[in-house]
Amino acid sequence: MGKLLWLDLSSSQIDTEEIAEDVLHDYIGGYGLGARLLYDRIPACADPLGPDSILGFLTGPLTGTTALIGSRYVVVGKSPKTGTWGDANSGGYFGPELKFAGYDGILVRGISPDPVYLLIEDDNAELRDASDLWGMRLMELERALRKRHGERVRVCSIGPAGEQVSLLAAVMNDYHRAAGRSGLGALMGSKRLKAIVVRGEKEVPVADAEGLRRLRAKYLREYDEDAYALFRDEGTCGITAESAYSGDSPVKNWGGIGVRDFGDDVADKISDDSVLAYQQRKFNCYRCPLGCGGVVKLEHGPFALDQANDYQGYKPEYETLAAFGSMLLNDNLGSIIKANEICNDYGLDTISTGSTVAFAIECREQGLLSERDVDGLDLRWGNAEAIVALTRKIARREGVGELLADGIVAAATRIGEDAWEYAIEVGGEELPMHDPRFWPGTATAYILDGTPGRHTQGSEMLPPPGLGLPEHDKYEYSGKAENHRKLVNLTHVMNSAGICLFAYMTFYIQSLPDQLSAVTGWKYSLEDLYPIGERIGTLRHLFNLREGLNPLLRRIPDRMVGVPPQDEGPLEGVTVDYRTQIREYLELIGWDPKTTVPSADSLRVLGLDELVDEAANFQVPAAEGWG
Amino acid sequence: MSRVHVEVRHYLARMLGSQDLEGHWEREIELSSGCTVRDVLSQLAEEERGFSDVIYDGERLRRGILLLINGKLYHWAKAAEVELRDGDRLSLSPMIGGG
Repeated sequence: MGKLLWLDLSSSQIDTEEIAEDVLHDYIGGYGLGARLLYDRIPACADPLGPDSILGFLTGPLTGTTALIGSRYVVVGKSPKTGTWGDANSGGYFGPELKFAGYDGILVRGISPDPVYLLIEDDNAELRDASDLWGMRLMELERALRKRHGERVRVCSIGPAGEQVSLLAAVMNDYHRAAGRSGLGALMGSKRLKAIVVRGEKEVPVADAEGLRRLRAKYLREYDEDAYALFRDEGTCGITAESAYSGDSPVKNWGGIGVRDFGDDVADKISDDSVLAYQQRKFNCYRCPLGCGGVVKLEHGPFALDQANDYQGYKPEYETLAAFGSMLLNDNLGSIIKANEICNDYGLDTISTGSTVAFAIECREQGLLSERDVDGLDLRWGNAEAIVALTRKIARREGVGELLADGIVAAATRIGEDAWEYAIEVGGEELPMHDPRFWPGTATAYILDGTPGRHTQGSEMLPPPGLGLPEHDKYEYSGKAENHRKLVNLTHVMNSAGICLFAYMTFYIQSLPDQLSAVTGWKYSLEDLYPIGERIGTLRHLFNLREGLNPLLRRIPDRMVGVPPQDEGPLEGVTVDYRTQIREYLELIGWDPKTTVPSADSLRVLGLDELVDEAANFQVPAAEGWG
Repeated sequence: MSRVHVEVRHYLARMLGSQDLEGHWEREIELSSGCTVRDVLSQLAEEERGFSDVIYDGERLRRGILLLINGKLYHWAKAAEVELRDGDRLSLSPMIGGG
């Protein structure tokens, strides 16, 4: 365990590095290991798109094993979009294949003068010319690479959006799985690294393979039945309608109300059975018993999928259905499936792209963008044709797409001051499709996490089964910090271990330390995982503090927190007291209430003694009004 | 007569008065044959305090609730008229976030 491949694109040099066991024990893998490595190796205030910037592709110890569900890898780096620590996580088969080749991760620095791709076949790793691949969209690209290197290779790559350094760009793998957030596709594009092609035959080392198999069998009998059924039977599309009606989904660029603006069963048109009607077959990531993904087919009509792919594409996830659905008052499911195909094929994050379209529609409605500004598109709520056309323009940076291809902040900056009212983002990241007015705990995560605006970070929205946290009314803002701390820290471990969030939500939480122990041979208890998670979260945070970034100074959109509150519907009257939530949490974990710099004691207790002096000298501006 | 097991879970269970940390609220309902999911929920809404406020408003499931029949997911439009048999299990839990 612990073998990394280093690629310097400026010198075309390839090396390997063995990671010390204590680092693996203390940071697990994934973005935990990434935070440790990149904190030490990216200079403070480095240009995220410059040669000193490092891009990492890191698996966890459970990736590629029989653990439930070890399908994930994490892309890490300094986000060119938020300027903070950045990471994004993806499933499929690429992560496991990297392990089969004998590597726990790949780290890339430098900038290649010409487009290249990295080919890994077990112990052989070499750079190849990608001039002929540059410009290719994902489906064509993966087909070309499989033709060249065999059907069994796995591919991680960028599409044209990443090549064009669009800050909406995702890192993609297995045709359609996306490490979507933090704009890391742009980072890969800036390095002119088109793809990583990997093939491996090695066995993934597991300390107690028989024990791990027994654990898999045990936890396949002990799970949350509701979560299991939802992911197995429908996938995340199954929650789309209920989330729109309950208030979980943002509606009309966060300014609408689901039951009023997207109600009367309208959201059912883009949810569960409506989506499954297009499904040809399920898609399972590596050794996943749930199979929440799917292949869809749309052959006819204005939104028919690409004929070259036999009109097939991939089932849109909840996030995509909401971002291109309720957010845009768009109940045309075909158009959402088409927009999803465009995003996958060009390599765009669907959350950020849909949100940016919503922002553009509202700017157009408010007269901040003219018809000419939007290339004559009839850009209004629910106009499916215009939504798809705009998505394509963003993907190609064509016309108004040039204005929008770097996301909401870049566009609002260019449009002018009045546009900020409609810019629903935190720290430069477009917000995901879970509304803090419905889950107030997510406000703390969106504002405070090392990667702003992320729903896959810990909060009361994502409790794993079996944890048994004390009951707490979600609208009681005081007294929830202990619960939040546990959820945050376990999520950091989960994201570092190489397992899927949906496994975390489905299988009993004891499965996490049990499986980590079986794979690594180290004995982890559930209690052991909390400080490990906190160490990982703290280091991600220190990465940002070193840049002089105080999360309390992040702009918080009024709509996100209910200022003013909605006047009808399930969220009527809700204004999120995020300041109380965050203040109590900072106090609990020993971070300064104004600068968020961790106290010396809080660093020492996590074993981060060597950073105590450095942290005390960070130049972090204080936030007023929080103490 | 047939018996159907109804379980309400997570915070919905606590809203019905369960003290269980993990959130379980269970009832066995006796029914005449041919009864539907709607019949079961209507009976519970009449008999159980808070049930109509939390789970079933008299016409349909309240928004944001996952319904499983014998471990299989059903949305309300399909679930309402499903006929239940002796030994069937009905599970009601809050809609999951994430994704």
